[in-house]
Amino acid sequence: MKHSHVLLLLFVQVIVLLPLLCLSDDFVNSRATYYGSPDCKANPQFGRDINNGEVSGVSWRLWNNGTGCGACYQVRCKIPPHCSEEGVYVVATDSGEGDGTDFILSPKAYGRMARPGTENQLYSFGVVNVEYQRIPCRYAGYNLVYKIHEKSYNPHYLAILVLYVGGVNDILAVEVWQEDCKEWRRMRRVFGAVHDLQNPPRGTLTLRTGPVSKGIQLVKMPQVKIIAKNFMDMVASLPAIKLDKLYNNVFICEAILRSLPPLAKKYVLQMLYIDVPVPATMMEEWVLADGASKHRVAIDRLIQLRIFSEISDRKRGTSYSLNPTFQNNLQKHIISGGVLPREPMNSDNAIKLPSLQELETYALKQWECFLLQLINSGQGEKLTGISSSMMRIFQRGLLSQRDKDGPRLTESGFQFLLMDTNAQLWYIIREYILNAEERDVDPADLISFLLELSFHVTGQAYNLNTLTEVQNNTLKDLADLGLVKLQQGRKDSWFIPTKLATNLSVSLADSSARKEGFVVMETNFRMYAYSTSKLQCEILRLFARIEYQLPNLIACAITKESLYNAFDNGITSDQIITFLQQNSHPRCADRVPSIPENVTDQIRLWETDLQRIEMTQAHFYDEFPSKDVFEAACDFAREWRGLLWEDSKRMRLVVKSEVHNQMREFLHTQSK
Amino acid sequence: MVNAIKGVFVSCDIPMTQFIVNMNNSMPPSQKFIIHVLDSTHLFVQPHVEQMIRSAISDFRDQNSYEKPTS
Repeated sequence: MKHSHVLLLLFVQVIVLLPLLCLSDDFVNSRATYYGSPDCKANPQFGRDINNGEVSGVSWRLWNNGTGCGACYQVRCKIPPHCSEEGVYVVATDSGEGDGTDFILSPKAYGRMARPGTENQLYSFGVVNVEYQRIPCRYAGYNLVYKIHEKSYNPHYLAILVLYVGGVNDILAVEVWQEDCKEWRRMRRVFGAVHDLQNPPRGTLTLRTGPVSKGIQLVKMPQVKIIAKNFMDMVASLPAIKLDKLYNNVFICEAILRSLPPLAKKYVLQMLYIDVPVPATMMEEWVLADGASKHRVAIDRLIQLRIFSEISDRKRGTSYSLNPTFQNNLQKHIISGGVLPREPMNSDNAIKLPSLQELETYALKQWECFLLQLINSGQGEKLTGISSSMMRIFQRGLLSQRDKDGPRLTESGFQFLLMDTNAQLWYIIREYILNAEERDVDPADLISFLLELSFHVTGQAYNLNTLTEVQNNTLKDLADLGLVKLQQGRKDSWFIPTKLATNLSVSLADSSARKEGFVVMETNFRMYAYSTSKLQCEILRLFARIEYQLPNLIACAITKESLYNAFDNGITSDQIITFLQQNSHPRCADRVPSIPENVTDQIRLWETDLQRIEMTQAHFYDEFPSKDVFEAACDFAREWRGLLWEDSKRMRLVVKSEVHNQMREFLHTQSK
Repeated sequence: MVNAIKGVFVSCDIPMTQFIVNMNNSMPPSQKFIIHVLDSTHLFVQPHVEQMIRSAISDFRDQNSYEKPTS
């Protein structure tokens, strides 16, 4: 009995999992620390070979009982002098809970978050505030890689370790095909990504992971929204012709250049004056071995935006060249400098410019008015000048028309209210652009105008007569939203862009527009909101019971009833908790955690209490003539993803109703 | 020949299963709705009782809540 024959005759089928291109999650705030000492960064304890040592232990929340092992994250710290914009790309290889930290990075990864040369200061902090987002994992050429664990030298034991999982999929279970019983046997998850099995089958081994029977989703994927999450993604998703037309505008080229990740910017600038295509292998040599993942991310982004075009040649392999329109425009831009089509007006001729403070209050007031009108469309006077047809377009996804009670907020409407201002603004602008075609306005023109607007200086006046007719109409709508302020003089009229307009093309690093938080949450489930805004009161009313309202304070309490109300309306506990965390008062925000844990845990518990039971329409099969027919029926149901429950001993089966017809035909053919 | 029955497959935790079984037993024989008890966390019931089970569970949940007397 050779104990190595299991290993020798091993035939592992690598299943291809489709990597997902875009995620909907924005950056999440958290903290990170590191293990070991900075001096040992050449020899981390584990993960030495994975991702060049840039690994991290993650909190139990991200670890998810082992399924979060192998996930890839982009983590960046938030102390401007010491932190690089891009941060570090790490793979989760272990679980570990620090003091309010989601990440315990390897010393090497921790140092990567710092600007080169400032690592020592970053190490001296010990723990830092970070923001992270989940990103698709990219391992050159592979989608999934297994390794046979050393302990499997024992012929009666097999353990495998899932090393690299491409994309954003979590492996929840692995199954082995038993040839003798003709069935898939689930392997036990020992810890993290290690799965084992007693008495593995002899001969060739076939493994699989994937959605399998028993109603358990084996491959869990985070929710993906195909909607663009900022201006740049929307630009990237335009069809090729429109995108090329957009690149005719110099400001768009510059705006897009600013929004690229740092490595991509470098590549564009390096290729700016090169006319011949550059082979991909040569580009890979420009980066050190550690930067391979960043290199891939940059190249993918450039191809997505059609700045790089890929030319595949059998002899010379792939090579990249810059989009010629983009290249020309950028060259001109560098030489001549960006000249806006309009100059700010001189402040000596009778123009009273509002101060920046006044401008900001004006913008905020307009925006709040607009939002209030959006959600309270049935009642109240019309506060803004936006035409009712425009309002209806904005409300389309957010409100549902009910004949009896008047329009009610939908689930996405509630989620919209809980987003932060930039995200809300982006949603409205996106709807506005997407509707441009219905109003006979070319969306590309609109996008280029909006991007130009973002290059204007906040607080300076610009004459209206420098705009085309279309731009003039757009400007009136934007004034109602609070993006610009229109003023009338004796002869001329002018507009003044506010901060909301200049933030439109906000790039990765720009997070200066954080509002002051206003919510203080106590452990006895009472909440105190220091705010005078009606809109914020409405938002709080969504999930909390308002007890009383003072001139500058709203006192509320979170109760089971108020939360059930919110859950009925489609808000999830995660949204409520994120809203509270993002808007917590500066006094509380420094404390870790900013919301007491008993409150967050209780909100989540109340939500899961509503989901205790699951019901599916199904058919129940029994009285199979033989075991073979039963097994065949099981497999058939599994293939059609309809198997809910099976009992091999008594030969009984429960299958989803959708699959019933095919099942019936299959059984007819079997019995012949 | 294989026998097929149409119904609703219920999947929940053990206390909930017991609650549903108890509800079934308290019904008069003509209205019993459980076709099979598959195991401790799964049941197979008749198709029309889905809504009734859900409302019974939410009543049970409401009874569990404490409302402070207003007086």
